[in-house]
Amino acid sequence: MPDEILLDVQRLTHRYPLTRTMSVKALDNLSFQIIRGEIYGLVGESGSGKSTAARCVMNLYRPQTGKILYKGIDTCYPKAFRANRRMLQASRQLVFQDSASSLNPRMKVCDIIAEPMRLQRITPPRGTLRAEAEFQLKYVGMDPGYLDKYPPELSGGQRQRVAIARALAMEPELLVADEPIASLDVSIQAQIVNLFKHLQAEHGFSFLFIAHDLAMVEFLCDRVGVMYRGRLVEEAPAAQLFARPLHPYTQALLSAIPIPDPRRERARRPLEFHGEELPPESVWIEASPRHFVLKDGRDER
Amino acid sequence: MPELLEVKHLSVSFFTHTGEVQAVRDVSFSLKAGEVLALVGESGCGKSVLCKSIMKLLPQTAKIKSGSILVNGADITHYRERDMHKLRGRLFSMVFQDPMTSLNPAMSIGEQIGEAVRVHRPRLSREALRARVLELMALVGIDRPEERMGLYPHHFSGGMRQRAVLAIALAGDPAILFADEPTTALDVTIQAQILDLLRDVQHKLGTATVFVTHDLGVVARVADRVAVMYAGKIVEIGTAEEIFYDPRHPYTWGLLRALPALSKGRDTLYAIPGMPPTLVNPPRGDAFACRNEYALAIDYQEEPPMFQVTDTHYAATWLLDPRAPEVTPPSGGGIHAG
Amino acid sequence: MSIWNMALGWGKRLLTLLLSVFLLVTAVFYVSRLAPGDPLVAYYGDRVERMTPDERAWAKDRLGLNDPITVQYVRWLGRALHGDFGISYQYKMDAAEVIASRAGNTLILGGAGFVLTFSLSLLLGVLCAWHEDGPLDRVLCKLGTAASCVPEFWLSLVFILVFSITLRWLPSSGAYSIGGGGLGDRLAHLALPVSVVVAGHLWYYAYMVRNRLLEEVRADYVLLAKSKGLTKGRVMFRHCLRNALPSYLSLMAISVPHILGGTYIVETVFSYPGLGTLSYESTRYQDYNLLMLLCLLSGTVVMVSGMAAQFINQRLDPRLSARDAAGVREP
Repeated sequence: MPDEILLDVQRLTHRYPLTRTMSVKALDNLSFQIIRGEIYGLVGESGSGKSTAARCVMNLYRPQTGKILYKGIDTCYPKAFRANRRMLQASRQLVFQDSASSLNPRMKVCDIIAEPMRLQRITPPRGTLRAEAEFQLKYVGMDPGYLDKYPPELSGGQRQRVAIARALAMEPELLVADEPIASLDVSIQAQIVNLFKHLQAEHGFSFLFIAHDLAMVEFLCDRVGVMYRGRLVEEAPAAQLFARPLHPYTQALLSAIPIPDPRRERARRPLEFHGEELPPESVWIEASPRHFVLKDGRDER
Repeated sequence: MPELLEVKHLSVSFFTHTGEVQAVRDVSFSLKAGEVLALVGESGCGKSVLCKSIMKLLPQTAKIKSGSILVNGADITHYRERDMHKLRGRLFSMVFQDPMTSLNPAMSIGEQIGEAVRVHRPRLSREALRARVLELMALVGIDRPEERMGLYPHHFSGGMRQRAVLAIALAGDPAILFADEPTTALDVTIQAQILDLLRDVQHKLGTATVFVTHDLGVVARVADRVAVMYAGKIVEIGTAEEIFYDPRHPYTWGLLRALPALSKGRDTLYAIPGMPPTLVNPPRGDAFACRNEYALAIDYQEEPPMFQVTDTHYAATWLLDPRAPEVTPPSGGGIHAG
Repeated sequence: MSIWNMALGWGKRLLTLLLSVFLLVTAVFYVSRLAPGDPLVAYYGDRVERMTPDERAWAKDRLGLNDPITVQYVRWLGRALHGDFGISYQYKMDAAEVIASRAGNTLILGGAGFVLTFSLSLLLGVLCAWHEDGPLDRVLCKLGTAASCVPEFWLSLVFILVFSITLRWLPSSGAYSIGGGGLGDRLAHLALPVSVVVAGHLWYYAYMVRNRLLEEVRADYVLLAKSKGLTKGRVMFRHCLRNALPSYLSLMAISVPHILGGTYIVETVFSYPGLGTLSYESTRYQDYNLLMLLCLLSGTVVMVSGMAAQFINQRLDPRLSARDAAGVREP
């Protein structure tokens, strides 16, 4: 089935309360879809709402309005969620940014990897939970000797591999990774991104990859959505977005990345984006096939 | 031009319960007035320790084992705390990586900048102090400084806080500014603004800058000269053009090849294999040898000396020895001009 | 946030406070009456043993002890709301008067203990943090740990044994000598109890100050402060101590009842005529009215000091101040 929509996020709005009367809008009418087997990148700067979106998708936050359809099930609707709880918990997995704090420091690597399986009471296909953990660990490129180590004994990159192994042990259909490489060293980032690409090609899971590093997103993702202040301002296949950004914010974002070439870089002046607030009457239009952009509605008229 | 800062064969170690961590090993470099030197390398390579050891901001577990630090010809290697605090702020000051934590959360921005001004000019009148604080805030691009003087760090965004930190660092008109990954914690668009600001300020005040970063894009934007560090040592040093267009050390080749922009259209990103060695027991010979696909037998035996390439360009690799076999750098191991 | 909102917030807290004190008093009222013992002993002393059952019934009726507990409770509450807390069975005086005559002694002991603990712990804590891992720091930390484990009543006995019985330097009991009563005499009587109170609490608080300071010393902003060119002293006092102080002050505020509780035990051992000995007696002899009033007082002190702690924290820490709650944030 080509182009089957696995995840359909519809008009999501989420606010964080500050005081009783004030709140901050983290998500503002956010809609996007993830097709089965694709890598969808969500990029934006801090405060753009991308992490909130990931947490809503994983049912960690409940959005105030909007719908999240996963395989047609409205996961924000408590009744539907409870009816499909096991399937939803097993087939969607999350990898966090900071594996130093998201892995229990007092659990051994092998227990960390096997825990979701134990909780879901899945019979391990490779006999024992330990054998399963060993297999998954090798799969993410780590030596089985690490099975009996504790997270603090591992490096950042190794911890992130363990987190990935734990997520993949459940054979998820949707993997959500919230800034999985942001806290790693550059050379380790490349290794983890390669691992993601390789694993995705092999498993074929759909992948929501959230990052602020545009170069990595360009390399890894099939389609990319650019978020600004809780809204999607542009969405396109990765190559197209990076070659021909349409929204002024995307253009500014791309031009802000310094080029590792002294002569060209010194001569260049990054574009700036001054549209503090997006005009409320903006419209979402398809500029070219599969390339969507948020246009100021007033320009259109 | 005379050397403003000269570091000669500096070695710094941390003495911890796991043993001696040799964070900086036999590093020599110099800095001229008004120039920008970038220190590049992976985390843990000692670039940040190097800066902090020059300013003597390291914890007590760290010791300068050997070597010397000369500022304007004066040897400050063995200066104690009571001498150092007179130099800090005036001779050199520092901007840190995380603007979220490097400001005192319980003091207003104006107060913190004012304190930095007052340290070196204690007799300044209230009005003059206030004028100077406003001047500094304007210099680093904080709009409406009068209103914002009284605000606390948590009222500011990351970019604004980093501007405030810069104002504090510049308050004593330092001759040298150490910028320790000042934009790493910021968003790209904010990073671009702060880099431009640093460059403007540097042109205006002529402050020599040591810029620590792991991002070669940032290096290309700000640096006049570049020193590449690996496992506590400078493995290659030269002008920005020399490092980017004619790199000589295999580690520099690796760093350049690992830029995601150069892997465009390929299946995998290039990553230097393996991990940096621990500095508790650095390996014999060249510390990079085990990750180096061009390693020679001698790399495992003996540490390479600094070979001179040009007047300004040096690299520590046996590949530059006349007896070494001819090696063509990998594509992408040098970005070709134009 | 407007003044109005702040007032609303504090009003709410005051209401919670009143409610908690009310619940505490209610619980104590019922529990104290369930405890075994004879309240008549407090009032009539040894005569109780010779009373006939009729006399007992009459006496109990006179004190209102024959009614069901709830009736007694409602009656007590009604009177208490009008400021009448009944008489103390033992002293045959208004309970409030009995307490008023003793409160001064406790306040002197507790106050002196508190002020000394507070200032000495601050001094010690700063010294330890300044010479982190130096000989002084190590000795004080070890000594402190050991000293915190010593129970107060035991320490009191040791002090009495050493300073009163063996050395005969200081008196071992009471607040003043019979007939005497000059300032020197009062101070001599205070010396031992105050030392016990201070010695019992000092280490813990000094340790807290030291650790809070070191937490601040390790913060990133200290590096920036140093790189400005500030001296170690200025960094320590203007930055670290200033930031550590609000949380320490609020800790001290919460600790008021804790230290007062310590004086209760010490008072009993030294037979010091304060509220501590009074509450001990009132519990022991089931002097109900006195017990209730003491309970009301100490409950209020606990709650008020908790509120004070919160208030101190909010006022002194700009991150928690009103401006922040309004969400003012500069772009």
